[in-house]
Amino acid sequence: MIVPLGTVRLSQSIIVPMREMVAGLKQTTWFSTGKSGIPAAPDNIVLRPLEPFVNLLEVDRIRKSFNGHVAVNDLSFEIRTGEVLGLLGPNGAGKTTTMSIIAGLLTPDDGHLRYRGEAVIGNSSALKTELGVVPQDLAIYPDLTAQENLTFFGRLYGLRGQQLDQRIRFALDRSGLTANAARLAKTFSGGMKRRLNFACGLLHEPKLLMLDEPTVGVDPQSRAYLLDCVRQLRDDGVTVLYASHYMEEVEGISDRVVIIDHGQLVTSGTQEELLGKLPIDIRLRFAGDAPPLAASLSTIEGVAAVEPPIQNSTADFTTVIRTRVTASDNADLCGLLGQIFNVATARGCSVLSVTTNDSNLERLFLELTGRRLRD
Amino acid sequence: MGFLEITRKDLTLLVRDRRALVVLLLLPMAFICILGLSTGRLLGWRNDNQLLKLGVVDNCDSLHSGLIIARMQAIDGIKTVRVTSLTEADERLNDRDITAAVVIGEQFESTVGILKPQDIFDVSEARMKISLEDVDIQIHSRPAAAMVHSVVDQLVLFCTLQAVLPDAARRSTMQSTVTNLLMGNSESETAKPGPSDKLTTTADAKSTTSAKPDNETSTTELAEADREAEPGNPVYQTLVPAYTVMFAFFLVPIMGRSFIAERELGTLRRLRIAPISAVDLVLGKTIPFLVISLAQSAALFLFGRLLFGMSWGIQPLLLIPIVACTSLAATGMGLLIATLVRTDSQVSAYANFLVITMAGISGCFMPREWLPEVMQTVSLGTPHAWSLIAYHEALSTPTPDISTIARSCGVLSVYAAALASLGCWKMSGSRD
Repeated sequence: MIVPLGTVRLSQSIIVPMREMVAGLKQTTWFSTGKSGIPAAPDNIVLRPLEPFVNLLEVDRIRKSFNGHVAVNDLSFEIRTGEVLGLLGPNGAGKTTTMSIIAGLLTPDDGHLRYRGEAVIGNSSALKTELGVVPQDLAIYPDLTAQENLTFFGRLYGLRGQQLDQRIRFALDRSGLTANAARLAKTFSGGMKRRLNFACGLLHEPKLLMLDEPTVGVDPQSRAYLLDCVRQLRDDGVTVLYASHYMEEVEGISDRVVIIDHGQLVTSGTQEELLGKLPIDIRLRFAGDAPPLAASLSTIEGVAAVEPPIQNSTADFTTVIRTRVTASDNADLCGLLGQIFNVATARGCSVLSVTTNDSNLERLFLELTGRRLRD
Repeated sequence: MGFLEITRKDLTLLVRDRRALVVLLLLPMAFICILGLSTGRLLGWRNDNQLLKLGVVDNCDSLHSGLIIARMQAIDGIKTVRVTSLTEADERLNDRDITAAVVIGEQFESTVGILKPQDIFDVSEARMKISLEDVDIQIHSRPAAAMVHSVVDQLVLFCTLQAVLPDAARRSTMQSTVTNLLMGNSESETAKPGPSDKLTTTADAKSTTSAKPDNETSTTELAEADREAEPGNPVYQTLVPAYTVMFAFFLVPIMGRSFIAERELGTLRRLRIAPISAVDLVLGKTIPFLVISLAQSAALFLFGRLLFGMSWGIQPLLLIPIVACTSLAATGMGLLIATLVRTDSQVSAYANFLVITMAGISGCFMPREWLPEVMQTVSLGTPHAWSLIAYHEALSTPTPDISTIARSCGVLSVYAAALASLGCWKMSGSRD
């Protein structure tokens, strides 16, 4: 983002809104934020939120290891009613193990899970009934039709008769598969299979829906459709735990984000809170007598680098100030910039522009988990 | 009741899996046909050159004459044809259409009707006191076939004794002693035989049964039973149950593949996440195969009767517990193997090897009595062997020993319970 400033002197009144503007970049996402014709739940389908912002599920210091390898280590976070919680982490971070523990597929070596305030490990029937899971890999029967798949999974959750028919119609409608209900799932495209996989997970009106990278390998249209479905579900009051590698997706739909790595919690909070922790790179371009200014700027603490002056026809040059700023550091940032501008003024230079890097989850993720390749 | 949903789903998938149906239903029939053909017995056809073809002139047409004819038919290698008169019999002898003629005279029934054991046997000298002529039965053969005449004479005498002795014994207070002497059974020999001991010939079994001193079955009932008991084609009496047992256990790899498919599809995780118990899951994954196994066995026995002329034995209802217990054992083994194997290759390598090896050593490929004694004993470690023993008892003996069948079914049930328990235990410890 480039903010043309001309020769205007920057003051603190300008800098503070700039931080908000940087944080606001998260709202620029690549996918459609429209509803794409996603049907809302009919009135007779109860998708109502529980008490908002009550902890629906609490993960309390759970630990799980396999053959000496610790997959999840003392991990704690909570999922609040009615929110979409993004679960981020590189490969092998422990996301799937964590979700498997929540789903009751694995028993943790230590720690507790509490669903609506009650411990569920070893007795997860209450959670199982209200939990919907859309696994990372497809989990449908290719030799059954879409309708048969939904009927089977619906019956497993105790749906019968009219209620089952109604739920199947709703799930088919929401996943855009009504016209293909009688086709065998093996004849579906990848995107249609993903949508059927999704529909199977939400058929029984789950209060908590866990999605483990549900958009892997689907075309942009199906991806946008699925994400719109998640938003619609949130609007309907369903609590969602959404694990993904796609930062844009998580940015677009999550109310809060949990980042884990090596089985441990790295950070958690709302996107605003997390992005506030992200270092901001500010690049300043000056016009004027470059070498003396560059030499002076290099001596200022907080200036990360001063690039060699670039001579051009207008004799302007660029220098870069890179500093790590958090929300509580606004005063420092203002002081630093004030110091720089004073030096520039003293040297007879003017500010041509101020440029900042995008501040988004992907940068935050890489900052927190590093750029090293994961197995 | 989640298991019912899983059962319904798996049955739907199985019915849609034509390859599995071919393996389970058509393949065993093909095997039976091929082996029937190779032994010259397909669809009841047999090579007449290998048979002793006897023309029977039954001028008496009584209960005991009918029994004699039925017993002759039950002997492998003998084919009987009804001939209306002695003249026709001689003509057919001359035409070499029959090997010998057995003529049962009009006085036969009145003669044997008054016989007592002491009239038949000289106990003090341990020899027969009567011949066929004494009971108005004549053997006609070509003059040059003296050897054949002697053989047929002895066979018909043997069958006659089997037919008339029970009634004769009833008329005598010597019943117990005489019948034991006649059949060469000491008290120790009449003790309950072990499983391998039961593998006697049909005729031996009949003799043993008839000679039981505490046998409460009346002679009339026995006679009726003998008339009702169709001997069936002896080849198929062995082949059909053998391949029914073998292919019942072919469910093992198919069950293994079903679990692998469920695991690879990711649906096993979804099932485990659903609010159903582990018992529901195990039952739901097992019952469809039990149903298929029962249907498979029923179909093979039905085809065996309709196409191959096999007999379902004197008490067809006895087949039901045997079929059920065999299927239970097969599905129990299938469940265990399904939880052990992780890939399709492992199914091919382990499950098929196990199933074929067990079928081989248990006597599915050849009659158990052909196996060396040590192998017959070793094979009792397989469920197949117990199933074959029970089938043999039910299908090939005129008065099946219920205790032998019950014991075999009991062992099969124990196998089923133990294998299924191990499978459940393995499944509960599985991560996926």
